[in-house]
Amino acid sequence: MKKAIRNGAVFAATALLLGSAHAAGVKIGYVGGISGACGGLTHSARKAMEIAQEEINSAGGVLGGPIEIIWRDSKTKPDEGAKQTRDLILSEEVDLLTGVCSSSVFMAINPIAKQYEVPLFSAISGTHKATIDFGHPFVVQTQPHTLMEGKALAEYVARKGWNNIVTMGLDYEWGRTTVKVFTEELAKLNPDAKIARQLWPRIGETNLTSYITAALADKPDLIMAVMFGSGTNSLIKQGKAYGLLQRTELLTFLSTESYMSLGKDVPDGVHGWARGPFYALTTDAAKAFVAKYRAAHDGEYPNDWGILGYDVMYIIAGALEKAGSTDPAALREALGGMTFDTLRGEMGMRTIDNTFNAPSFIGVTKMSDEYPFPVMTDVNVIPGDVTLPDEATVNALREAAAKG
Amino acid sequence: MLIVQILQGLMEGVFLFLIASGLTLIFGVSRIVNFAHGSFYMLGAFFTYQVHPWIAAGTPGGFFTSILVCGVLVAVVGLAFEFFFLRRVYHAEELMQLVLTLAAVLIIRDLTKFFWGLDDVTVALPDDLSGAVIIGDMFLPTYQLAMVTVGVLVLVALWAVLKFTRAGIVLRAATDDRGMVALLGINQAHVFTAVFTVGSFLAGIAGGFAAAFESVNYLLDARVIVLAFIVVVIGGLGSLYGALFAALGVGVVKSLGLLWAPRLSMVIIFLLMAVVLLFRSLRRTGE
Amino acid sequence: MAAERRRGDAWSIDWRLVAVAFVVVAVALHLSPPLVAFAIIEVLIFALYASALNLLLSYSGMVSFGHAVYFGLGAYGLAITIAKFGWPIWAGIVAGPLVSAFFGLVYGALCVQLTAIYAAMLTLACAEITFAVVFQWFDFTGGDSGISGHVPAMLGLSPAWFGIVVLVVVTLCILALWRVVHAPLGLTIRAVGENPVRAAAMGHGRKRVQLAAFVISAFLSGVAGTLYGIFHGNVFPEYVGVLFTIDGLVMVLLGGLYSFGAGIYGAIVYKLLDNVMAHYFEYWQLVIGVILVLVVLVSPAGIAGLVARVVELVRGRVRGSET
Repeated sequence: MKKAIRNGAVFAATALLLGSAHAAGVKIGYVGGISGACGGLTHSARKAMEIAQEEINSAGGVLGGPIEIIWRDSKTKPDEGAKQTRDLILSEEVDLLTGVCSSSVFMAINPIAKQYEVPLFSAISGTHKATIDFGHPFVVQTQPHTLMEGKALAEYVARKGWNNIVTMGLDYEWGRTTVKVFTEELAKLNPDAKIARQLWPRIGETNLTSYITAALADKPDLIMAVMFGSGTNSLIKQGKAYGLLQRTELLTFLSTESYMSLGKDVPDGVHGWARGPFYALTTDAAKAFVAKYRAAHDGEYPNDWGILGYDVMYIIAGALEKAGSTDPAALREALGGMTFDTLRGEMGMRTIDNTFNAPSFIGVTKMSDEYPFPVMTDVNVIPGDVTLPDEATVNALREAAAKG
Repeated sequence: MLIVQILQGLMEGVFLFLIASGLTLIFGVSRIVNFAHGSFYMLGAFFTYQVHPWIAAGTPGGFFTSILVCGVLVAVVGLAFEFFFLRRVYHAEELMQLVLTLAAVLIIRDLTKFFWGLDDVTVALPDDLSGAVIIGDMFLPTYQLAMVTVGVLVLVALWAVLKFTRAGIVLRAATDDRGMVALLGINQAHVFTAVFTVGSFLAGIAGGFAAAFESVNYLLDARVIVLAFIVVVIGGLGSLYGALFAALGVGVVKSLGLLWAPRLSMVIIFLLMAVVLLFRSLRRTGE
Repeated sequence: MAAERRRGDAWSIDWRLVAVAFVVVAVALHLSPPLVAFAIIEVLIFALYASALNLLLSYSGMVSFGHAVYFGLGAYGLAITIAKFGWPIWAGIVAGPLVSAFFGLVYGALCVQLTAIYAAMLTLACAEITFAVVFQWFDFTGGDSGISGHVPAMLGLSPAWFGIVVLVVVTLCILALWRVVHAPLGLTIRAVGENPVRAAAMGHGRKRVQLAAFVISAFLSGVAGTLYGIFHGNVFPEYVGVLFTIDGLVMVLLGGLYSFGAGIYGAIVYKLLDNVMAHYFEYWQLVIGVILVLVVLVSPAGIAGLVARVVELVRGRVRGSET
């Protein structure tokens, strides 16, 4: 027990040294998986946010002062994320929260933002539950969430006319919800389509060979793999020997870091979806950002989460300027009627569920001469206005959640 | 379709055997539950990632050589761990061995993070190994056939060593009765060191093979150690042939389970593990 | 202090020590900024969890490779009874530890059929099955997005006052555990842990005694888990997962096997490194690994052993100067 006190004294000293007085401008708390399972994704988000922060501050900041960001590591654990968030609010008195990686950490932080009425801008996690089922006035989603992505996929698959489909969804919330929404929406768009088989690999499973043989046995037009990271990488690697891409089409989540780690192992002709592929963004602003990012970081390219992170900083800054203060109610009011010129195009937030009409990107992989890894070509941008769920769906989900 | 799935399960099973063989060997002889087995496997994977571009990159010969080299490197790490640390606690409390191997897990994981970062890495497969043998509508990937061959080679080699060499006789004696070895006038510590080194080598080459097969990151250790435990426990702790059958069984349960009970295959495997443990104990007490 | 326990196995509790520690922690909670108070709360909760696990490791000759199950099910018991069954909060708080104890009874009854490493492996199998069910039974447990919002985090209290609540509960539980270890039941448990054959000869059934220890340990782990669930106002599959199991094991082993204080010392050191060092040095678990190696090579009795040595040294000097 005595050690606990010494422990406390050390902490108190550190906290005093680190603590700083609240000045003009705005103080943003970032909670993200800097280490842990999200570590590989979020480093790019942080680098991009720092670039945006520097740009905004050198142009005069917001609300008469600079943007200050306090970085906290959730270690990709919900309990650690909750603890850091509560401390950012209680000790640092941050005006806003952002970051968040992995839906469990998002779900852990979400009620805290609600309790203390601190606006929370999600830049990295895509669960729809935080803004819809357990939504509240202070949480904002700036990327396509699970329901939107499922619908975008159905849109793409219907357009391609694939009818015989095997789904392979990681057995957790993202995989299950995406497959469910995809199936429902596809049935509406293309009544001829049928799901021949549903496979549910466990998260962390990397020997997918028996899943591949089972999927191919149904001679599908398409294998829809709701997988990411090491799952997607393993699927592509192992699928090669089975002639997977010669025997069927594959549609899977391919954010930029997958290309980076797989390199030439990504064959041409995989259909992939992404949330912010830098190479598919053609505006001058996007090109300038990529150039700046590469110059600052050894020629490295930003991944999807970098694009999303950069966008969220400008969304926050723009909304604060219009609101004229950090008051959450004023901020929400301002957000409602605004459109933002983001790297991903023009976007705005609707107020029923504080969700941006963020686009989904779906394309086909091709080895590129320009980059040291393949990228997607023929990228279809499926706008958020098409994929946002209607108000009745939102209300139904909220009612169900309230019942428990 | 069933035949394809069973065959696929068996191929996966042979690889599981490769993962688990070292663990069961070590337990059989020295009664050490080596929690660091998954970490040695992970080291094998990352070493191979690091080394393969330097040894005739892109050719099957260079590729297999780098896996072998990395297996040896991991064996050296295992040898050092056994020689400098584990050796001191053979006579201490069994829990002290747990402390040491758990410490090795924590240390190796953080070192892996330090040297190779948090991102996934993969080893590109040489083109000659990335095809498949096609029989009818059955695809037998070349690389998996190579892994099966290696698994069988390891099995045969271990069998031959155990059966025909003096070292094997000592090992079998050590598995049955640790005191016997001492009576034979053989330094028990040398036997333990040798077995631990071989076990680490097996973990290392299994990891090396995995590096070109799947996507590798620093979280690999925990997943692999649990898989290895399942196989070793179902096979009967310390039994080499038991591990073989358990590995094949687990592979087939997984590949068929995903057809019939797609969300329950892991639960089924753990239930199997629990039932085997309880059944063995009942039989023991019944005797 | 620990030396006395180890040497003489004093039955009595040094109430002065308890009172001083209690007051000091209570004051520290009130003087600390929130992050420090959170860290103290974490230390308290994990001290209870690790102490409960230590009952098995140090006293009853069992190893659990799945103790997070009993920790996490406490938090799930709380969340599910409130969010799904609509129970009032107080009933959920009571239900949490009881759910843990129930699973401790069921799994424990199976595990005590086996001994040594076989029993440990069975605890692992039980834990993995439980984790898979919690993770996959989406509609009931919320799957990986967990359950939150069923109880106000920290019961709506300030960190300092919630800290006091945790301090009271943890102190009572650890005192109760002390009683268990030193009461007739505890002596029987230890006899079985040290030498099952002799204990059997004395008429103590190994299985029944070990089962009792298992259920007590599961219950107290469940109390810790329930507190943790209230602390964060949520529950996630991580709480029953392998990382929490390893955390508990590492704490006990750091703290020092075969000493009552192992869980407490281990929790303090582990959480100190986790909370402070992790900010400056990303590879803090490597440091824990190195400390564990040192524990084995230098001080098998862990931190408790070191503390005991220091206390003895100081006392020796004091006595020396008196005469």
